[in-house]
Amino acid sequence: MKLKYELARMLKEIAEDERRQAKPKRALSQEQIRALLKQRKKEQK
Amino acid sequence: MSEKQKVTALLADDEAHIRLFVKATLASMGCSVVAEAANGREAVEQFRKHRPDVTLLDINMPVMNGQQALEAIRAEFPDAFVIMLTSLSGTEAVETCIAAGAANYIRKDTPLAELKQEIKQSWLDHLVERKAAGTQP
Repeated sequence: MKLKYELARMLKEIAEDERRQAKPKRALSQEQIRALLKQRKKEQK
Repeated sequence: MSEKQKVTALLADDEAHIRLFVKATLASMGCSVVAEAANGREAVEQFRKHRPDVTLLDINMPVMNGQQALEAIRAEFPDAFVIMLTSLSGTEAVETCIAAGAANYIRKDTPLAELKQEIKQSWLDHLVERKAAGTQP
């Protein structure tokens, strides 16, 4: 029973860890979009 | 915009009130909206028909989304000047559209004055690039 509980706790920790590490889908402000656009255009040249 | 001859535009957005708003905005900038589309497929068809100077594309549209329409238009017309006007602002969407050749990417919640400035500046940059490349849009 103790082992089962321990295993569940570990799985929960792993899941939380993965969620934290997952790359967030960051929303960009218009200013950030402008900067990104400028950078990409520069790279394309 | 700053041209003597009116700059022609194509608007693609599935929401009629957004098209109305953008149309009025472009008209106030001296731009003439020659066609409208409610989805990406219509946008590609209207582009072929009218060859507008400026194309404003929404992303979230039925039938064919704006990213797919952008790719289709640019594949057929590599010099097409396309601006994305969307409520999506995730890094991935922005990067994908830039890579597909979007001239600009504007959030729909951008204040009106800034929206106009973004469109105008992109158009002027496009004219400069075309001139430098030796071709006129």
